[in-house]
Amino acid sequence: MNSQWQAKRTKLNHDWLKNDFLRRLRAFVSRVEDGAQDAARLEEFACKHWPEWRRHSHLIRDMLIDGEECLSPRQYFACLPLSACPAEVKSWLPNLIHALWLVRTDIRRHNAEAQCSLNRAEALFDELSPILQHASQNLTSDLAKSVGQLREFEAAAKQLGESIGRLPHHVEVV
Amino acid sequence: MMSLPRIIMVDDQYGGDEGSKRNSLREDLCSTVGLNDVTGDVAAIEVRNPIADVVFCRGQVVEDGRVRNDLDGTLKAIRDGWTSQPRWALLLLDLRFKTEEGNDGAQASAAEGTPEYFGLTLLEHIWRDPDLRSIPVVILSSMSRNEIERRFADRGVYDFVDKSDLTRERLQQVICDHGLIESESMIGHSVPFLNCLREARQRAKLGTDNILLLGESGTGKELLAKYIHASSPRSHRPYKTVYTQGVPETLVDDRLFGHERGAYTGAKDSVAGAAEQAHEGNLCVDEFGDLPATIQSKLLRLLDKNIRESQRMGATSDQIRKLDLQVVLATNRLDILDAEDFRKDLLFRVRIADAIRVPSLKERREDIPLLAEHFVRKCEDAFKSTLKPERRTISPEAMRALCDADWPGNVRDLEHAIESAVYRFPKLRVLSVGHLRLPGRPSSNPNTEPVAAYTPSSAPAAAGNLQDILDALDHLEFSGSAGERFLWTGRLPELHATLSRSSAALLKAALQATRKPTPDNPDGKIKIHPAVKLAMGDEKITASKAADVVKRVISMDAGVQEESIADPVLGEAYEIAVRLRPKAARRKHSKKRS
Repeated sequence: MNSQWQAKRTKLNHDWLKNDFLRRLRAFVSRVEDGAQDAARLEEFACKHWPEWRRHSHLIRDMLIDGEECLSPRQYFACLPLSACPAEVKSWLPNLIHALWLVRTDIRRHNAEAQCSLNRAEALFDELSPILQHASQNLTSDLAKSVGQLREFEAAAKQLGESIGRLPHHVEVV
Repeated sequence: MMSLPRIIMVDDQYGGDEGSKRNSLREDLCSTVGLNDVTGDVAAIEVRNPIADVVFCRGQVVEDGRVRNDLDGTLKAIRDGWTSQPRWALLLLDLRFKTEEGNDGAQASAAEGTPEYFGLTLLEHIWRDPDLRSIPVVILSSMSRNEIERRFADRGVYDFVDKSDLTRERLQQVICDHGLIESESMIGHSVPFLNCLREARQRAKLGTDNILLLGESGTGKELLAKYIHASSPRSHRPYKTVYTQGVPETLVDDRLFGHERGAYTGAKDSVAGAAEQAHEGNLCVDEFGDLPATIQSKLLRLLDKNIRESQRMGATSDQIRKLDLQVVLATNRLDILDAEDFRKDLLFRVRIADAIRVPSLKERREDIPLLAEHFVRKCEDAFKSTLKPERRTISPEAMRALCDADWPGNVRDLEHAIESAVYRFPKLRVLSVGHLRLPGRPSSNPNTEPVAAYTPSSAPAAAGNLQDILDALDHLEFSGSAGERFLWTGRLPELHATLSRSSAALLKAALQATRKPTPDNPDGKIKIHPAVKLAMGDEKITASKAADVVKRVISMDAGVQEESIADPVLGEAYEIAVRLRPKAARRKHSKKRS
């Protein structure tokens, strides 16, 4: 469970959000800010890369929801050797370990921060999407008014990436 | 114009896509960060005001439609660009490389052990290879720093940059802090030299440090001090240098700390020393190793970063000034820590362990061709009117000889050798081995003896003795014992002649020291104005006043005047002075001669 979740995080956070989407978004906003008359590149982002947010944000939300359970050391009671523990022990020990782990990793706070950044980014995405979709050929001047919002969106997405990065990378011994 | 620093970015994302004519992610990176893509694999976009040239290396190959990490190929690309010029200023290294199997490291379950990343494998190989170990490596990754830091911390990595934080300013900072970058003011591209510049920049950045420069004579310590000033946050504030070698103790004190009015005979006004003049800027104390003991103790308070106090000569304790500056101290005494004549507490205050070592020319032979070409151009520019207008070149044999020579006087020696060759053979376009006066090699033209070198080694002792004599005379009283009276009775003419002879000798030394060789006169023309400036320590003295000084010194004593006029150097100087200021002196001169 843990390794699958880690792989999902790598794919969504490292590969897509940080290494792809944010880089393209930053270049897009810089071009808009600079007033660069490079309609082809602006349109390429608006039509091809911007809409990817919607699909990925859902996957990120699901990943965050699963995070606590998938990362908890409690999962090891489902397989050997810990699954061989007496039922009486299993009735309380996994939960105790989980509770101690929560305190130690502060995962709920990191998760809440990530959710908060995701919500903020989602709200801004909803506001910005119509502007990007309906922008005329002269994207630069149409979008110039929305640069502030775009920067806010970029900051929220960056914050989201950082919060996801703070979630545990290993199963920690408690 | 300086070329841009050249960096290599090893990252699977920015490598050229197979069969694709453009890499949009790379274009985005270049345009936002300000990088000039010189990889040459795909069409590069034009970037306004780039901060560096960049070569992208994917670190992977595609074989039979499958992507795999390419350790040997990547190391070769890194090595090729490191051993040729311009060499990499910086290596930006990604950690995770995506292959057909997914991200490396991702397959390994956390519970199964430590995941391996291709970036770390590359780093390990670079670290283990003595030829590549000096490459400044900065990690550029989207991974969480905490997750990975302990695994690269002891592998010579200079910094970690989160890809999401890679902005133009951040990259500029990283290149400036850690990159091996050339300078317009200091010529050289060898690793030891560029390491020295980097260290200087890093130390200068604080702006409040005491920085000690250790290097053999002629290595360019003073230039490096100026470079530190230019790289410091105080670059727009004053920069002052104090030279201490061969300067009497009281004069060092005066130059460094200044004096109050009436501090000594002739101190008509209060004058600020170099330390005060450098307030809010940078102060450089050249030949710091030669500072007399009394100045060392006075300097302690200036070097204490919590105090930074300067006291002028003759100042009372309530006249002490608090200063805010950075102090650069330069010395060629490489063994200064073991020197018995130097205060250890002073050395602790300048953090001798952190001293910047300026490499000798032997340690940076790779720079000799670059320096030699630079000095040839410098001579040509300085003497445009007299030299043949064509550009000169140095023959390959001569360049080899220059590279193999010993250069005990370092860069300064090399500059003199080139200067001398250009001036002695002004009509030649190619300088060959025979034209060069290499160290330890006899002159190629026996009729042209090298200009007598100014040897400051004896100067401190002489200056010290002179000061002793002056001090003794200053406090001389005829009220002493009969023996003392006997000692001084009737000695005035002798003293007068000695003073006259000593003054003439000092003037001659200054005339020799300020001779500058020209194509017409390889020994150097005698110029009285700069010589008198030097001897008097007065930069503001006019040419006519200088002529008066020469006349006065030479005609102070009849016997000495005759000797001086017979001397080729002093005789010529006297002639020049008389030409400039003919009145009186001419009469006196003709009278004396008759």
